[in-house]
Amino acid sequence: MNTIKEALETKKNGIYYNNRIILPFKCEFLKIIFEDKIITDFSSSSPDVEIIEHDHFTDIYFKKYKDIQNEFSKYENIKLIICEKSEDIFDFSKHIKLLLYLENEHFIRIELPEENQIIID
Amino acid sequence: MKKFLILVILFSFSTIYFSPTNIFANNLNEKIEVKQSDHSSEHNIFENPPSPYMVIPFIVLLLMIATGPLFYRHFWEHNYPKISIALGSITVFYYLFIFNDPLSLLHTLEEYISFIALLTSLFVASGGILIKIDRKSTPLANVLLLLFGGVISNFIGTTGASMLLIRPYIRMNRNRIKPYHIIFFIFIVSNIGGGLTPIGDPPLFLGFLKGIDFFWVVTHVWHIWLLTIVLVLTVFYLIDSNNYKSKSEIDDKEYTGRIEIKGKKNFLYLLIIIISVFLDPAVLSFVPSLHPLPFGIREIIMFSVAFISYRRADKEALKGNEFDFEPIKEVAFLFVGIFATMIPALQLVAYETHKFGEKLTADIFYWGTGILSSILDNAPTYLNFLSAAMGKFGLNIDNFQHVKEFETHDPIYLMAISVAAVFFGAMTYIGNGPNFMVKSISESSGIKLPSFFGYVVKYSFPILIPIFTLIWFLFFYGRG
Repeated sequence: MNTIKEALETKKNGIYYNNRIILPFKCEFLKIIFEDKIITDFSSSSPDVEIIEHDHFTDIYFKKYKDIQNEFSKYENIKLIICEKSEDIFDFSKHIKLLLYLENEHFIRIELPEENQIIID
Repeated sequence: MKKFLILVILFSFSTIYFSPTNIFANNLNEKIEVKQSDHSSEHNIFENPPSPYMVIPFIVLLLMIATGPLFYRHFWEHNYPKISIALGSITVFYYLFIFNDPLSLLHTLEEYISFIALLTSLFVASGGILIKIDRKSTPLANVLLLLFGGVISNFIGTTGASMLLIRPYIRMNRNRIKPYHIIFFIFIVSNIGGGLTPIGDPPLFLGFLKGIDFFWVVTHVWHIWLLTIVLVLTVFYLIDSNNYKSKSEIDDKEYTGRIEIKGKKNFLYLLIIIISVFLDPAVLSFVPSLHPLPFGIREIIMFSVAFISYRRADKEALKGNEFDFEPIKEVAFLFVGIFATMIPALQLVAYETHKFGEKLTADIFYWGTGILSSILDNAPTYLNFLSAAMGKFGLNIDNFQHVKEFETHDPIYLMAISVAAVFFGAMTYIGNGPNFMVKSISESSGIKLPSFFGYVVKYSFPILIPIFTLIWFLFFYGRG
C-alpha cells in the first residue's frame, strides 16, 4: 500500500500524534496548506515541515506546533497538492488535491475535495 | 487557562455590579436619566479628566493588535486573550477603585455586549450559507459580484458579506485568480461597501450605540459612498479586463449560469438579526428594558439566533465554508480589552480637544481618522475622533442628548469621521476585522497574497490614496 490511488480506493486513514502526521502512501509533495500557511519548502532546512519517506508510508512533522489537533476545528482541514511517484510531476492534470481531516482517536480522514471546496494549484 | 480567563471576566463584571459605588443601587429611572440627561454623570470629564497615564494600556493593546499577527504571530495567537484581558483589567481596576466611576464601565459593558451580539450572530448565520455560482469569470461578472457584496454588506455587515461571498468569488475565478482579485474584494466588500448603515461596519454600529440615528449615515454619505464605489470598481474593471484577455482562452468549460444556495433558511435568521437591531428601548419606546441587566431583548434575540442557526445549520454548508469559531472568538477577546482600555482614551481626547478645538477642521478629522483607521482598528479610532469632534463643541460622547445635538448641528465632522473610518479600513490587512479573515480564507485556498507592506505599496497607495484624496477634495476640503 503505497500509492495515493490505492489509499483512496481502500479508504485508508492516516494517523497523527502531536505534530506528526503519517500518510498511508508515498508521493511527491508540491504544496501543503496548513490553516492559512502555504508551505512549499520541503528541503531539510525548511522551518515549517520535515518530510520523511518510509517504504510504505510518509511522515510529515509540523515543526512549529506541539499538537496540530489544537489548530483545527471540525470543519477545517489540511490541504495537500501532491503527485504520484510514478506520474509526470510537470503535467498539472496529474496533480492530486487532498483534504486531511483530523478525527478523534488519532485518525486522519483523507478525502478528495468536493466541488464546492477550493484548492488553488 | 480558559477557566482562569472566564473567572477573571466574571470577577471584573461582578466587581462592577457589586462595588459600593455601583449604579445598581439606583433604579431603572435613574439609569435612563443618567444616559439621557445633560449633567448626570458622576464625573464631568471636562472638569475632572482621568489620568493621562491610563491611555498606556490602550496604546499598548492597539500596537500589539497591529504588530502581533505580523511579527510575533505564534506568540500572539496563543496569548492574545490573556493580554487583552490583563490590559483591560488595569482600566477596570482604575475606574472602580481610584477614579470611582463605575458608570463609565457599565456603559461600556452594555456597548460591548451589543457589539459582540451583532457580530457573532451575523458571523454564525452567514457562515451557514454556501453559495455556488456556475458562471464564467468575466470582468463584468466580477464587478457585479463585488457591487452586490458592497450593497449587502450594509445589511449583513462587512464580516457577514465577506464570509458569504469570498468562497463563491474565488471559485468563480479559480482558473485565473490573482492577488488583486482578493485585494479588491477586501476594498469593496470588507470595507467601503459597508459605509452606509450601522450594521455595515463596526465603527458605525458603535456610533449607533452612542446615539447616532440609524439612517443618519445613509442619508448623509450615500453620494460619497456611490462615487467611491464607482471609482474603485472602474479601476478593478480595467485591471481585470487585461487579465481576462490573456487568460480567457484557457477556460473552455461550459457554464449553466446557475446560482445554487445551500442553507437558505439562514437568510431568515439574518433577517431576524437585522430587525432586532432596532429593538432598543431608546429607539422604539414599546420595547421593554431589562435594566439593571447590562443587555436587552435585542442581545438575547441575537445570541439565540446565533445558537439556533449553528445547531440547525446545513452541515454541507459549514463544511464548504470550513466554518470555525476562531475569528469571532478573537474579536470577542480583543474587544473586551479595546472597549475597557479606550474609556480613558475617549475621555481624555474629548477633554483635550475641548481646550483647543478651534484649530480642528473637517480636513483634520478626515485624514486623522483615516490614517489611524488604516493602521489601528477602525472601530476604536472612530470613537476617539467622534469624542474629539464632540469635545470641540464641549459635548460628551457618553451623553445621549449631546450625540443627538452633534449629529444635527455639525454633520460635516461626523461625515468626515464616518467616511474615513470605514473607507480607510481598506488600506491595510489590519484596518478592519474582515480583511484578515478574507486573507486567511484565500490563503487557506492556496492563493498567495502580498505581504503587509506589499499590500500597501502595490495596491493601497496607488489605488486608494488618489481616490480618497479626491473624496477629501470634493467633500471635505476647507469645510468645518
